[in-house]
Amino acid sequence: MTLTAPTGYIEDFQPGQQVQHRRGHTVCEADNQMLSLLTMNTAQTHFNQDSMTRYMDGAFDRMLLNACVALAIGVGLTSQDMSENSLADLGYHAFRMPAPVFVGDTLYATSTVVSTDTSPRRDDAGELVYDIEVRNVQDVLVLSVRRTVLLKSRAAWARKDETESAARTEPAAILLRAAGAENQ
Amino acid sequence: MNDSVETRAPAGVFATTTGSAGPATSTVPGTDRAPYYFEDFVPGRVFRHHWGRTVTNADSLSFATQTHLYQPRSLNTDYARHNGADGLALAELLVFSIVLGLSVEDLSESGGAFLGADDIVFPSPANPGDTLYAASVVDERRESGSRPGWGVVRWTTVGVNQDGHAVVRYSRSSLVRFRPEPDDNESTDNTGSALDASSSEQAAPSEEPTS
Repeated sequence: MTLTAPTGYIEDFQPGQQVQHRRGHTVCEADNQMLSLLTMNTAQTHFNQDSMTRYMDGAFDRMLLNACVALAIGVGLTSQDMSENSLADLGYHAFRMPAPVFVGDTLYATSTVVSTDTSPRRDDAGELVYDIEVRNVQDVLVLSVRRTVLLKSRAAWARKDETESAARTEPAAILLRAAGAENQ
Repeated sequence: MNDSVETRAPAGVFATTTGSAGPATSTVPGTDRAPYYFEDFVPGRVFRHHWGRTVTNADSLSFATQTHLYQPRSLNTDYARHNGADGLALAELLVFSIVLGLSVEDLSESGGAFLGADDIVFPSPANPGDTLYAASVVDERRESGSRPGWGVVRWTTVGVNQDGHAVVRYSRSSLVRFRPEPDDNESTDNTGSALDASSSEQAAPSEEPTS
């Protein structure tokens, strides 16, 4: 194992490629309330159950997940597979929530690569554009967004990343070897 | 931008009636700013949002870990430096979320579904310790075709740090309620208009901005 996967460089993605991300996330009260408050969001629909009787004339009986939080969780579910080796987020486009998300909903994300291009910003990275779709267990699409990340190129970074990874984890491995473990 | 820069809601909109016929110790609303409604969102009007927010490494690490953001540049100072950065990057979606959060009281707290955000970009990186400020301008508005008493408003919001550098910029659209009848204080926040709201409004393409 290394600190980042050896398969997450710009060369590893092709347009049209789809990734079904393995982990899901069950939304809990803390996701909505804590992250809404952490981010200064004053909309009571994310932290005051009683206010729901007044919001949009009582259209929803439960608190709605903050859209920013939904976006962050959706992107996060894709991050290990898509942006572990990223250097920056360049942008998000066409962020929509076609259906509401409530506490207790379990979300899964899929990604579809739109394009991989060289970057005008630096020559050791490329720009990965991919579409994210997040669905609940009823297979209802609850979130869609197009993300652009600056992603390291294998040619420029793979060897350096491997060396860094080995150096950072070597002290722990040395201690284990000193205690008699096999080198892994 | 123009001379209609606002930092506070118009006075009197949220005047209380509680205790008006009773003892002198009337009750006043705890938050003194009235919500803005559709009529207030005149295209070109600029809103400077409240408070500001200093963002730390702790904020970003909490946000990143609670949202599964498995990118070493957002989690590991050693690795961020290996990448050539000065240190940990603030999670970009934390910066976006805080700037949007600061805008909520002015733009969308009167209540209405989120209809989308577009063209979210990060013109320069925000660094741990930066203090974020936000302002928005009304881009366009129109009455809802399917929902009497409501409209759709689109704003552009910019977040800047203490040095005035733009760290995030985006546009956002929401359903926004028309101002309730002025003599309808009992139901100002409750039943400003009678309609059968359904969650499908959030998905209705007809309610989305065309740009």
